[in-house]
Amino acid sequence: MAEHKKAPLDWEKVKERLREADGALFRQQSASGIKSILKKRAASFAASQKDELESGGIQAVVFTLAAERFAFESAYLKEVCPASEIVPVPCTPPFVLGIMSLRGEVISIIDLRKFFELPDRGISDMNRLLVLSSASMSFGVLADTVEGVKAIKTGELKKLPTLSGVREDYLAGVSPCGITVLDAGKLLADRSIIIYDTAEQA
Amino acid sequence: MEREKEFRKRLLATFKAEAMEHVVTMGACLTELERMPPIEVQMEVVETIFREAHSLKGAARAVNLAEVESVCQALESIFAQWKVRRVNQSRELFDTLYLAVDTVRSAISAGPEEHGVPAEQLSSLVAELERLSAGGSPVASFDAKFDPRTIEEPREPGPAMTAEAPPAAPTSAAVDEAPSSPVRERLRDPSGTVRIPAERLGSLLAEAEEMLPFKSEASIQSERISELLAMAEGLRAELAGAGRLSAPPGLKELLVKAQKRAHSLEASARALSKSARRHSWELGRMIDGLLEDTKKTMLLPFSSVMEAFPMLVRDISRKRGKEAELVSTGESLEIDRRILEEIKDPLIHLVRNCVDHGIERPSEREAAGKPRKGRITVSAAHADGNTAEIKVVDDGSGIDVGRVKAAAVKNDIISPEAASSIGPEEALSLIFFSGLSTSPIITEISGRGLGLAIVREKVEGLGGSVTVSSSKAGTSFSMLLPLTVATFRGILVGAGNQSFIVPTSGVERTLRVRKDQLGMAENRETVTIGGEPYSFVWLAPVLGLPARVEAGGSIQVLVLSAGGKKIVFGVDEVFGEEDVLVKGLGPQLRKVRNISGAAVLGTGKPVPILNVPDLLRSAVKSGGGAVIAAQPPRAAKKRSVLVAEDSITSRMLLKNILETAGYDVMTAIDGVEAWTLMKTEKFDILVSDVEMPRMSGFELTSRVRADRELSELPVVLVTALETREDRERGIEAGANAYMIKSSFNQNNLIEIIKRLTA
Repeated sequence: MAEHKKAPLDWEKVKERLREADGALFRQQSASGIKSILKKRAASFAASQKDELESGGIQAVVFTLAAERFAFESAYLKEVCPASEIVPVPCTPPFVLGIMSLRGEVISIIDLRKFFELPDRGISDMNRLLVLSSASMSFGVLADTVEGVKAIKTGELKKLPTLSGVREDYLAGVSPCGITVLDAGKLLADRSIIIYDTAEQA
Repeated sequence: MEREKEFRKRLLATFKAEAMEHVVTMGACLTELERMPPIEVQMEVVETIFREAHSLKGAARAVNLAEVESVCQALESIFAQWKVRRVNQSRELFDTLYLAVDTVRSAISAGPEEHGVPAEQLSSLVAELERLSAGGSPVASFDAKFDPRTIEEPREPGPAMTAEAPPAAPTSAAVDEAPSSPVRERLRDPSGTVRIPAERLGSLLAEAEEMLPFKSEASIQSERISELLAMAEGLRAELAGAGRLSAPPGLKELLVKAQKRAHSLEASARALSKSARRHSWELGRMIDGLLEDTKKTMLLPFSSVMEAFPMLVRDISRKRGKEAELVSTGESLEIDRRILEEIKDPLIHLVRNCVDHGIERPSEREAAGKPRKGRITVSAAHADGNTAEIKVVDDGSGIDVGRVKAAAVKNDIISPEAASSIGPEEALSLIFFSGLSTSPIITEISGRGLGLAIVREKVEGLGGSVTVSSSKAGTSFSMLLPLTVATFRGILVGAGNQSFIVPTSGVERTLRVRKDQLGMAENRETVTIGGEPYSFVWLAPVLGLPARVEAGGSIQVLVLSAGGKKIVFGVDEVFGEEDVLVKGLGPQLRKVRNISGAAVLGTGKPVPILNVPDLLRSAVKSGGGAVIAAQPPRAAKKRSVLVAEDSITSRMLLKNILETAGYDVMTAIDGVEAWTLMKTEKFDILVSDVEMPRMSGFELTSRVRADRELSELPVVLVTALETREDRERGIEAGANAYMIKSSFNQNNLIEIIKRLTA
């Protein structure tokens, strides 16, 4: 406080600097100039969008799991959120990791690693929950990290013979940049993942 | 146009609901009349049915349901005649009346566009009704003007009618004012009833239920604050003690300051604790009150499901050439409408089975010295607490146990050896198996096959149980059902390192038994409680979880019962009873063996709810006692964790978290110290930081993996490094889990440790 009293503000200098800043903002661009820039930008956005759609592209959410990169088409992804504690459910097959509470509702969690023969041990902290959902089915899968949304051209996907896990059907293909794209629609529609079991049948 | 359509749709839905009520009442009235009650009662009933027909006629006209209108018109004429005692009460009359009510029912459910009743059938029915209403012998003293065909509309009540039946006139006039306005009728109702759509009540209840977890959370928090208070008190006392010791003046001054702080800390904690306790108590009281009152809005008398049954029995027995009457008691017992809704089909199954297979033909009955007419009794009674017992009893010939056994063996439900060893009661309960129900032989010979598996599934789904007993004098099915479904009480237990909720309704008692109360009988483990032997199993292996055997001299057990069977289950711990909110397991887990759903506790953590009837069946299959022998007893020992971490704060934090979770914790300040400790002590798991002086977490992990003794030791790396390369290095080194400090979540860590050390 004491220092401020010793050195009062030089108002003239301040005003001058404000004028300069003002000039820099409004002198630089005429109205038409701004318009043309905006137009250019809009055109470039539109072009890239069109490009993807024309070549049969999908929007996919890319995530990592056990040090591999996977992707789901974003249309089937209801939400991505931090994973909370998973409670295992006894008497279910190993691919069912358990249940989790998501805003008061209970959701079952599936272990994708079991479908693709990925190592169980090690390295997965399973921090992210991806909720997949269709009209009649909904469950969560866990991922280590979620990288974000990426446009993937379906035409460029390759079916690799080496990727023959237990559930090969769920693979849509591998993208040129090495992302394994999974067919969430097939996964959701697969009746064999539904557990319907009673003590009597056992 | 759209709006008009929408309105019409709503109008039709309203009409359907209202019309069905009228139909049900009319059906009930007919049954009553058929019993030939005393004349005053009869007149009252006739009056009711007359008004019902009239109201329904008006309502049907409003929605253009001509079929219903014409039948009601004819019915009205008959009952107008009946009121003046001009109707001949023949069996033929009742048959036609029942047919008329049935016709109205099907026309209503079909709707106006569908024409649910063929035109010829309709016209012949109406003609028949008209014939019957005209056919009564006229009473001599009656005014000739009073021709049945002139009283088509009670709008102009004839003078004779007023004179003959005084109470009828004002009522029919009242009906006339607003024949299809339930609101106005209700307004006149002195009891002050309001009609609310069930759906709206349902969402109200759901919202009230959502508050339950907060009630338990509030009480947990209040407890935690009390603990905080105790700590503050301790701190103050210790500082006061320290203040009495001699110390240099500077320290003394600091101590005095700290004492003051501790004092105010304690005071704040005390005030907070007091208000938290009051809060939690008030909240609990309010939520309980709200839930209880909301639950009451869901209650309906048992009679509401029974209304359709007399007609059902009449119908089936006529078709089967039998004679049977239905007697129902306990109709005023109030049960949650959702339970009544669910129980309706099972009840229909049971009652139908009684007529189909239980009651004999009239000639057989007479030969056996029984009255021609069979009797089916449906009774509802309050059993105890929140339980109702609904019984369906017939006085037929009973079930042939021998044939049930034979069919069960034939259908591979039990082995021939088992069939010869089981008692009659157990054999009888075989009829609930689905394999048996589909067998044509069993339905033909002893009956009672069809649908009994479904009955059991439904009843058990409601948290109830069903049993059967049978003798030469008849068969009795008894269903024990909860009266309300809203608050579900469960006992929180620990087994196989997990928590579960056991529905309180399936728990007979919880207690501790001494090891010496355990024994073996017929190759099964048993436990003797109060001089009685019970089968004994551990819960964990029945659920496929690792068993843990207490080192102590006693075991915590639950006596579970369902369907008349009791088995004692050993658990690791019983935490207490709670009100819980029941949820499904999601669409992917439609039905899991032994698990009926999940409850979300106040902490937001879901806990599986066990299915007691399933558990009893699984326990019998798992062979009971054999389980324990297979699992060598292991002293319940705390798991030990070694934490390697160079930051003192992180070290203390980890130590604290892990100790709270029940682990023995030792700490090391770097990789070298950790390595030395591991060579001298035994640990169940290593939790290590990556960046540490002298030896990093990666190096430590590699050494562990390379060591012959330690190579299997689970390793969790906790680190600030989160690049892909670091993760890969972690895999290379051989870590079992890799946690990023920035996303560090203590539950996650404990969960991982639990998984790795299980």
